[in-house]
Amino acid sequence: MAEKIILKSSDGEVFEVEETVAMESQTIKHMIEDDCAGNGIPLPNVTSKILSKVIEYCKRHVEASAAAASKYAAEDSSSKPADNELKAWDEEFVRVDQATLFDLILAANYLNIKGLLDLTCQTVADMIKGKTPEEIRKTFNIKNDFTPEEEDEMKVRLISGKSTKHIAVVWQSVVKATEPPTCMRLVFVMENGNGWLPAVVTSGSRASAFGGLGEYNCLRCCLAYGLLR
Amino acid sequence: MPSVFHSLTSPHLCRKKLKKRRRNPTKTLTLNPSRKPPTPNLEPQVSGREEAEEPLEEEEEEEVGFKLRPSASSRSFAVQPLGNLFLLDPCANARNSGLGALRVLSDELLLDILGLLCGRDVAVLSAVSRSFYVFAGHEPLWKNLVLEELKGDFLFDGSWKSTYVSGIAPRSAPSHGAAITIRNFYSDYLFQSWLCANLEMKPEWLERDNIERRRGISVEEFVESFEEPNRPVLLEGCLESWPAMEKWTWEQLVKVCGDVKFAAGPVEMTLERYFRYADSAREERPLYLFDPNFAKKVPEMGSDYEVPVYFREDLFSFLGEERPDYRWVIIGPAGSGSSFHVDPNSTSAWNAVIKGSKKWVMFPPEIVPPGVHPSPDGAEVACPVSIMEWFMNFYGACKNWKRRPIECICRTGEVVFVPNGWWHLVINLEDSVAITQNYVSRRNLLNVLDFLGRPNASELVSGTKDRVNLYDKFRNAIDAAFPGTIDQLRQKAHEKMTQKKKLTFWESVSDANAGGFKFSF
Repeated sequence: MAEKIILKSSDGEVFEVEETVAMESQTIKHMIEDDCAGNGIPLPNVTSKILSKVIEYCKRHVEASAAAASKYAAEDSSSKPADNELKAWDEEFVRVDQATLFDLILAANYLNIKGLLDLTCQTVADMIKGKTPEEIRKTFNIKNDFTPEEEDEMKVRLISGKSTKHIAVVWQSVVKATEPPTCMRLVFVMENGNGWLPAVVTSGSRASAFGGLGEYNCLRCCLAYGLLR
Repeated sequence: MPSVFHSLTSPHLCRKKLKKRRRNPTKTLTLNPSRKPPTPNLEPQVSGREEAEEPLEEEEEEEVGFKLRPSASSRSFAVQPLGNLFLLDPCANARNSGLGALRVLSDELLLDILGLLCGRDVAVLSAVSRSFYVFAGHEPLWKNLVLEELKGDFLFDGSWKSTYVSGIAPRSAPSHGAAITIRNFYSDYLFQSWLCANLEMKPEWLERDNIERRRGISVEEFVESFEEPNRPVLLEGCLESWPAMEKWTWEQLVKVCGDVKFAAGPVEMTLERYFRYADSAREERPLYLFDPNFAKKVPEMGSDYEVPVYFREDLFSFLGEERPDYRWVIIGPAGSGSSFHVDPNSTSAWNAVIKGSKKWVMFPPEIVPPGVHPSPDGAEVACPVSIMEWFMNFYGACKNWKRRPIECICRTGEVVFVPNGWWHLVINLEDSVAITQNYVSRRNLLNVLDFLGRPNASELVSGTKDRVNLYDKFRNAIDAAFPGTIDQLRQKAHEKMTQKKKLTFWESVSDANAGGFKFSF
């Protein structure tokens, strides 16, 4: 008969889980080993909503490990489909609203569940990857608190390009001009790091509206000028 | 959690006096490296602020505050500790408003997430908000990116971020001196990181020097007084005949070694590139050049030194090619070093300073240094992130201990003997070049065998790829070279143990006779 551990969420709900599942959390594992699990383990940092998700994750992964172990014992090397299944399950698991996702990160950190922490952190990283600053702001509801002067002062920026072909890294220096046409000099680096294409593009916008023009628009200008193949 | 502020939560580190908070209402604080050290509070760069609350680190009334390195002056933004925010409206913290929904995550978690991004994405983040500008400027992020993508082939350019930029996009516009000055950003974690990278060692951390020093003693005296009883000693005058003392200047080493790459942390680098890095690096944990194969890579270096006469009995040599790593050349800038550890395989060690100077703090095997937490099996050790942090938070804890640690500054031409099992911490006080070797003699042979024979040898044994079999190999090698020695040593040790017991008995008897005992009839 499997041992059951009692977990108590911050809002007073009680969860009964198998010991193997609870031990996915290193924090809980140490408490059990130190004999503090007697009357149930209070988790004042985790709400019932999040705790139930966490338990769901741990259950699924314990099942997966058990299945893998028995396959290994049976010398069955057909673990690929199971791996992919688990991956798909994980991807679905983190398809939640941001607040829940961040709460899961905090819970995984507090409960010390490496797999869950890695999964959730990577999910957030993926939400940042490849985006422009404005897109990132929109994603996380961030206010642009740079002053116009500060944006002007940012003389060198590393921005990602939306070019379908070459640009991976774009360096941009703003040449301040007091009257139109305002120029922006763009230095490109090809994706494999070889060579660079200097380009001067007339943007048609004022230098101080650097932020407003947007990196994406700069690149579209360049495309229009045929500087990118 | 940054441990400068642990003092508020760690009652076991008892302090003599309560912390005092100082008010400096009319003082405009700026970071000026030439000014006198501030009053006993940490005072980071706070340009434009009228008040700075510093409810932080303070040990004694008279104690002068922390001094920052001269290079710490020109920061374009200044992270302040959360203590500064204490009397202000929490909304004044630019951190939160600039993170949006991500504000709920702690600084460490946020940095963990940023650590998963490539250089381009981190740089994009710096344009998102002022808060992200600060996070994306966190040097350790860029350090990892450089070491992952460029390995040891980077040309250090003053900071890790500019090193990455110039390494990946060599002909882009120069990126020196970020132009944004960020104020009102408060974060303990980031502040701590910056502080540890920019502090100078306090004079009182360097004052105590209670190691025994000897010059020109015989091998027998060394064995009897130090190796046998397992006590550290600093030996002078052993390196006078070493060609390395003359030859091993940084310039000459670069000439001799050329393109040979040496191990520095996770990467291998040429000396030229390493010295270029070491000359301008200012960080919490500088890359430390620590190479166990230097004599194979550059045979001339191997012949520029010889093992001091005291340490020539070297039983691992009987394993020939299969012996674990045993000798290292150690090169590093001021601030680099090793935090508390016990040397592997229960070996003893000697460490000779060819150039520069090192501060040593040593604790005997049975005393775990404050702030250090080894796992029960010794395989893992948890300790403060950087050496500076240990000094800031834990050095004072052993001030009032009866058995103090052994401390010293080892200078050019001197050798420190580290007995087996002793905890030790070393920090370079200036650019240093040293050689260290670990060895096994008959005095610690039994310890080593016991260590290698442990059930968890596969985790603990270090310096060799063949951990599990090292015990058997070594045992056989010794039995072949010195038949019967091991048994002899065990016999001696056993006798000693029983001797000790006997003495205790007699001691107690004689004590009784000495006057304490009275017949009461």
